[in-house]
Amino acid sequence: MRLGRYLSFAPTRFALQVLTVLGIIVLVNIAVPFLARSSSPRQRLKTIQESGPVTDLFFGNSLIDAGVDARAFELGFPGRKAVNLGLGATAPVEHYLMLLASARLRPSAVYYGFVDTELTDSIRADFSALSGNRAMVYYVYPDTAIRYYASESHGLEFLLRLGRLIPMVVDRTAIWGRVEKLRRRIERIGLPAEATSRFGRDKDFAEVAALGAASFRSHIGLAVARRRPLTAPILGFIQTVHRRGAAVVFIAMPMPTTHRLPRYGLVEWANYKGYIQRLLEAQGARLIDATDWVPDDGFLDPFHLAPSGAAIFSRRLGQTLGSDMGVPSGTAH
Amino acid sequence: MIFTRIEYYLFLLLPCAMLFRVARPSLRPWVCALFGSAFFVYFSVVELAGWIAAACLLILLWEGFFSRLYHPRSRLCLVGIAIAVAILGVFKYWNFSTGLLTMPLGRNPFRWETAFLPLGISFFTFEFIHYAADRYKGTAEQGTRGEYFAFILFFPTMVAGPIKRFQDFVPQLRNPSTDWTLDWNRGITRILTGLVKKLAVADVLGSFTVHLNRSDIAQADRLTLLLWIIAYGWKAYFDFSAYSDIAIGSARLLGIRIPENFDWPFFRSNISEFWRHWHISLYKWLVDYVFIPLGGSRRSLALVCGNILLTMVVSGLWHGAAAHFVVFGAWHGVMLSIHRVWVTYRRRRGYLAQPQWKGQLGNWALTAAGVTIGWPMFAMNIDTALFFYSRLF
Amino acid sequence: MLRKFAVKLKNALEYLGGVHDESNIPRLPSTSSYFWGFWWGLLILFIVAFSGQTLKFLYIDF
Repeated sequence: MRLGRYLSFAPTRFALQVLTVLGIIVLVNIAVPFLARSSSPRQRLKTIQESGPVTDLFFGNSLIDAGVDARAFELGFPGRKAVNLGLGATAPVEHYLMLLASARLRPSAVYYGFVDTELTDSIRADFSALSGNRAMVYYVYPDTAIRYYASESHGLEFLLRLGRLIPMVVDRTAIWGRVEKLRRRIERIGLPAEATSRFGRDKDFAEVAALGAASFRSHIGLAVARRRPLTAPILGFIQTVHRRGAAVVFIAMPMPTTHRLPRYGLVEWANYKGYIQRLLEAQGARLIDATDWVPDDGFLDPFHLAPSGAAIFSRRLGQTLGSDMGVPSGTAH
Repeated sequence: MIFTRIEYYLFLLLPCAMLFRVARPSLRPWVCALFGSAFFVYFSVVELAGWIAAACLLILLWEGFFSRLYHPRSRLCLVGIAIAVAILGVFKYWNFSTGLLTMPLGRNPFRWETAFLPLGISFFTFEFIHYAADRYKGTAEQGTRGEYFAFILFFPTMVAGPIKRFQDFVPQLRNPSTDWTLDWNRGITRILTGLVKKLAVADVLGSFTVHLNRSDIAQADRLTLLLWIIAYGWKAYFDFSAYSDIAIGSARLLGIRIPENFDWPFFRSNISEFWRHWHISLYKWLVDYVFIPLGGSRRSLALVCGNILLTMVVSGLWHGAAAHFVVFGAWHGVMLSIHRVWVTYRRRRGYLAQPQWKGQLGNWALTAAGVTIGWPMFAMNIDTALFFYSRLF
Repeated sequence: MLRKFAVKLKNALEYLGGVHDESNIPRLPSTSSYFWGFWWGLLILFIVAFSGQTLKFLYIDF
């Protein structure tokens, strides 16, 4: 054989070595789903499975997760039964997937909480970003997720389809998360304790808030000038809710003055808000501006509501919806 | 993060290693050159300044053709060295040097706002200089054009070394190891070890080193500052030795052995030994192409110390175009000079015996302290480093 | 004795890290494919566990 002239290769030994590695990898892939069995997306899916009849469903990222107190909402809007399906560190595509997964619940109203320009910002994610809670794209309507995220990249589509088959890839943060916690603990050695909430470090959120303020004005100005449409998953979200015969309400979530004043006091913001209101109304959806509903002491960090703030917001939301005809009064199915 | 990217392994290393193994000997250099070019273009585009950075492949192509003109004692070799130094100077030191020259003006009208570093420029220019200098001295054969392209475009070492020598590389290119099983066993083991060192050790130590900034330094106590700076040294070691492990392991998959870069430097008991075992290929390069041309050790003690100091300042400047790197190099130059004086003094007095274990331990502690004191000048700008020292002492 | 132990440890670690071709530690099962398979598996597990947030290689920009 020609190769034999150049190589001395002992394939059996090498193959045995590789097979042993593969055996270990298979074992790990069996263990990973066990480690990830109580991940947040799976808990939400379990909530959907176990939930009784509901009238109101809330979707969004950690702003909804932290900000909606279902009990307070029900107190403000008697006769309703609400479930919070907000999920931290997620984007509109994941919210749409969660809506699709909630088909068995037949609410009369669905709410979507957002901040700033989330409804019109383009949909982007690379392979590394689709981990943690966003890993739900691998197991909740993955074809839909791929349609949104990888429509322009065959490489990403290949990675996502391949990744779906490997639990170690899908739930990689089940392992990473633990290591990251260790790393952060090491990082704090010798320094004063820093403020954190279950959503992350206050410092990180403060940095995000500070970064956004400078470019916000031009960003919203451009969105209006270029007539940026509602993004595809948001449109899909609205259409799906309508097909199910429910009302859909978008809520600009409460923000503290540190975030609100430099941004929402701008003329450009008023223009932008009017612009997305028209876009939403054209789709048969409604917009509620709750940005100034909660005083600053109701916040946990520069973005998230504390339980006290969540109670104020949710109760007022219930009262607002209960006092007008924007939301069908229907009963829980 | 080239070596932590999956495409490096799937689309470059594995195909190249397999093709190299089965290709005819005359084609092997071109396999290396082809994959090296693809490596340079792809990672320049995705990791650096895009297509403009990728266009710097022309520098390597130019070198591949110009180097054919080198002959022993030919002035073109010196021209080649000057060109290599100029390329490094323009890309790496333009803003630094014009900034120094225009300091009295208060602004730098010659500032290159969109300056970028071509992939691996600090390393490939050193290999250019080595080849031109050795061709001039007649200590390196010319090799074929393909072999030289393979040498300068050998992607495992292109970005961050180890800095190879043509004389060591070419014989292996012509007759690589044929023990595929052993090479792949050792090569893959080395790559995996490098990745573990990088991800599980260096990056975890990075949890300490993120604090080497003014506001965190102001908050920390002495012990914590000491912990951070020791961690910085170990992180630098694990990070760079991990990179070298992956480079060496990658080359091994092709059946080629490239020089080692680290050999337990933190366990050495004097500063000279430290440098002989820390970034070995750079140290040897500096000795051969800076220290020896300056006169090396065959001068008076004062001149030798001056040569050492100058060589280490060059080393510091090579690490980065900033004043703190120069100070870092100078600090090590001073330590090496003091060590040279001490060794000469002992030799003259006839103290030749190795110290006992207590003495060895003391020497090790002194070396570790000297190296550790130098890290702030490597890790931070001068102002922050001085602030660090003021808080530490 | 301590020195001998340190040298042996260094050699063993270097062998496990792929630096040397042959082990000079008699007890290391240098020829077993299973051994190297397990060792690779262990290293891969470390890599996966710690690959969540990798930083740039220090020398890349030099």
